[in-house]
Amino acid sequence: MSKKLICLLLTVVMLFTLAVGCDNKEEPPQPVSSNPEVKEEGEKPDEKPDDKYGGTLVVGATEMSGNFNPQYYSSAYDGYVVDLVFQQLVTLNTEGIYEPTVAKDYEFSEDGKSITFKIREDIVFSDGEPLTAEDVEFTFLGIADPSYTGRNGEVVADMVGYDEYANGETDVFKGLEVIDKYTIKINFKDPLRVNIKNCAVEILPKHYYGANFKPGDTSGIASITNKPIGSGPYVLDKYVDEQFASLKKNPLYKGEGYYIENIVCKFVEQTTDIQELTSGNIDLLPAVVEIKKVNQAREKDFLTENAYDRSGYGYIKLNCESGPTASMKVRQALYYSFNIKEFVNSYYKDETTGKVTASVQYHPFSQISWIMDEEFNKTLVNYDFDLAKAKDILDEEGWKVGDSGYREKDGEVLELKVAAMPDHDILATLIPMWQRDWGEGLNIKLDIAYMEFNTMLDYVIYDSDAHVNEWSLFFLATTFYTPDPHEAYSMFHSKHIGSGMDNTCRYRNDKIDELFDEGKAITDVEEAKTIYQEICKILNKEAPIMPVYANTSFDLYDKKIKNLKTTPIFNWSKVLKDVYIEE
Amino acid sequence: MLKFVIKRVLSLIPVLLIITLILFVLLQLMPGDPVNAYLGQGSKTTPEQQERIRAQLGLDKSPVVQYFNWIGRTLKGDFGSSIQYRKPVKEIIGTYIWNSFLLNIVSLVLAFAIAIPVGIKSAVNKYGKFDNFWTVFSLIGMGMPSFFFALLLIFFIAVPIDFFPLNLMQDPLKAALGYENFFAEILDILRHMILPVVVLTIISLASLIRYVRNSVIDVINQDYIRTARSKGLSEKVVIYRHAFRNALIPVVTLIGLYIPTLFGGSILLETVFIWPGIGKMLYSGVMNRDIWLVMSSNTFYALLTVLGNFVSDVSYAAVDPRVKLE
Repeated sequence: MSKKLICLLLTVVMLFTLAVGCDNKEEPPQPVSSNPEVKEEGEKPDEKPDDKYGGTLVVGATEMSGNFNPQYYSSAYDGYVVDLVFQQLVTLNTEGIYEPTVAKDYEFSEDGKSITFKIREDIVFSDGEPLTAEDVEFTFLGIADPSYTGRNGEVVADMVGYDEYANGETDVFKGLEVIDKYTIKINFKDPLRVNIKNCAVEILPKHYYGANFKPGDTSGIASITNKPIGSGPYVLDKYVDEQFASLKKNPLYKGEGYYIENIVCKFVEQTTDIQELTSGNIDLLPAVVEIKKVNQAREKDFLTENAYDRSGYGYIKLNCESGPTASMKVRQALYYSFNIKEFVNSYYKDETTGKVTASVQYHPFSQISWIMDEEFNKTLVNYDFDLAKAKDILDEEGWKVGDSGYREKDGEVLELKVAAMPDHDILATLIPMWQRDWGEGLNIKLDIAYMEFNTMLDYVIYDSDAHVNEWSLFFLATTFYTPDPHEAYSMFHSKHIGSGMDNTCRYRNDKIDELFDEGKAITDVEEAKTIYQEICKILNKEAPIMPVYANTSFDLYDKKIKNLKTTPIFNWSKVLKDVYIEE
Repeated sequence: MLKFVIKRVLSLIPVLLIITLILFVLLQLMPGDPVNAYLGQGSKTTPEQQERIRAQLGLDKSPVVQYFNWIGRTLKGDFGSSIQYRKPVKEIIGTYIWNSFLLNIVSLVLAFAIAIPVGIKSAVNKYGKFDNFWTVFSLIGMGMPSFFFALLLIFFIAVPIDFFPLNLMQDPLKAALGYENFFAEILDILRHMILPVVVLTIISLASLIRYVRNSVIDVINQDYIRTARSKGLSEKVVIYRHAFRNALIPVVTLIGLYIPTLFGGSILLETVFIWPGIGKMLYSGVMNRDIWLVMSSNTFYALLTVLGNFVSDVSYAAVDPRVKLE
């Protein structure tokens, strides 16, 4: 009887499976538009005015958390949706210039402290309400509010009257002046080049996000997370937690481009994401770093790739405040004896093409920054591997090999305390190199302390004041989001030394502080360039940081996607305007 | 009996308090800054603004104050707000728990439905071919980590066979663009359930079979079975009328113990299959330093476990006269 029972059960399971299977065969996944108007168009492709329009793009996303509020989202994947649903007042274009988007144009006042924005009169939000200067004002008021807890806080910090307003001392924010329905003036404390960058925020509809807003209480704005309304080219159609987000074209969007009708951001898992791409479940897998995955994609004829160096780098930061690395000469000696090229050429070698998928730089600015050019690059100190030179520098400085077998000065051993993460692939390659060149080559005592990633962050960033004497160098990575060299300000300005702050190498140089402050005030890019190049030269010489690699990222995608021109700072959602699908 | 129940309920309170205290201390010791996780990569904030945010999230107070605030809030039924999702924890647990429940109930029913007949048959023909096969099966099933098994299924079944989805709970294209009818949606979800259910079923099947088998063997060796056999009853009647029912008693208790686990999620399995269950939620909560979410959901797990033990204690006492109450 038990046999019968098992048979019965198995039969039930099989029938069940078959029933589901049949259903699937009858319905191959066909992208069908859910918008009735467009559906008609889609059925008669010949009558379409431009056959670029239509289609569905499925993008792999690993970490969406479902908060699509531009002022509060935290995951970069949520940012994709924000990019597509909202429009910024001004937007950084691929030439590095902020071009008017919601604004028709903008002009600076004579003293350079104020910017007046004329707003386009034809923009409506996806619910049909017009976008006016009041919405722009509301957007900034929300960010400046004392109760604001989101990610954009800094954009209002340089505006006139911010401190009084954010402390709740006054109800009037002097930084914002609504002149008429379609004109708004924004007043800044100082005439800085970076002011315009702070105007690149997504405009929220006041009637929707501000329904429960009063100064001092932004909880009403923050509570709208997964039902965004904006004026951008797409509207969020559906979001299912931990599964997918789907967007469709906003019928009220009047701008050009944005040919694709439906976009689905599908959750993927890192262990299987490349299988999703090679089996056609997704059309685009952005920002892949693992060369193994890239090679798997190359085996498929229907896939192609965009490769670009990331805007940023992995780096070694040296402790400029405490220990032997506080001396510039020691830092330089370490730099000369660190064979970065050897590391990059072996670690980032793509075995199939023989190419190296990362580059080496000896300065701390982004490779896409506008201060960089060939000529200037040649004037920088070249730290190519030179062990003899490193030895000479240390000898000159008085670090001589002593009885202990290590280099010593005034009875003190030259010891480097490395704060390292365990099981980290790159560090596991770097540490033996250091042991060879710094340890055996230069007779430096290496003390490697392994700590979990977040412990290390506490150590060198969040609680750095308490641990300043406990490390000499650490390895981390950074990303730059604009080509403006001002991005490096907080990394090296002495104002940013301390627990939780950005100047984690604790580098202090009055000249650098002065130049950075001078540089951020210059509006003219060419003029500012000379200042930042001077900064770059100093930092290159003094070596508080050793960038190790700027690795290549790959956007892997189906060949049916045309015109996808991603760059280090413009991901797929930012360049979607010109992209179309050719079936 | 009532006295016993009340006594047991009262003893649960300190147990739960100690569990929450240990949890809270562990979370405090966990490195990483919740405010930083809250703001996300590429955020633009000044240090002063970050301090203000810390204060608003209630993270600026001393850990002792934070703990008692949490206890106070929780007793009032307010589980706090998730830092990562920016929604009340209650709402989040409410959404995810049913997805875990769905997987668990199906696999549990399947596991019992298969384990009981297989266990009996193995016991009856102890050390036979059938028994040996399932013994090996059980050992492999118990020994293999669930996530590894899940990855094997993905690479060897889901990748080559289109019918089996790699992950998720629904086909996002169909779900996004609309199903033709409600029935199609149900079938799509069922299709996505197959692989995770297979993994979960096999994992629990492995130990269940051993349990049923041993329980039946115990019963078969009892005197009354020998008596039944000596009366000349057929083997079928002996096994299914006399042995089977008695052997089921411990198995039924086991079902009671399994009930709380229906609401718990498997962290690794749900992560590998991107199943939007409570285990996956807990995992991303830990990764994002979402302390109130982790605190509340872990306390919920603790409560389930404690209640499960309590229920089985009480039911044992009710069923088995040999268990003394005092």
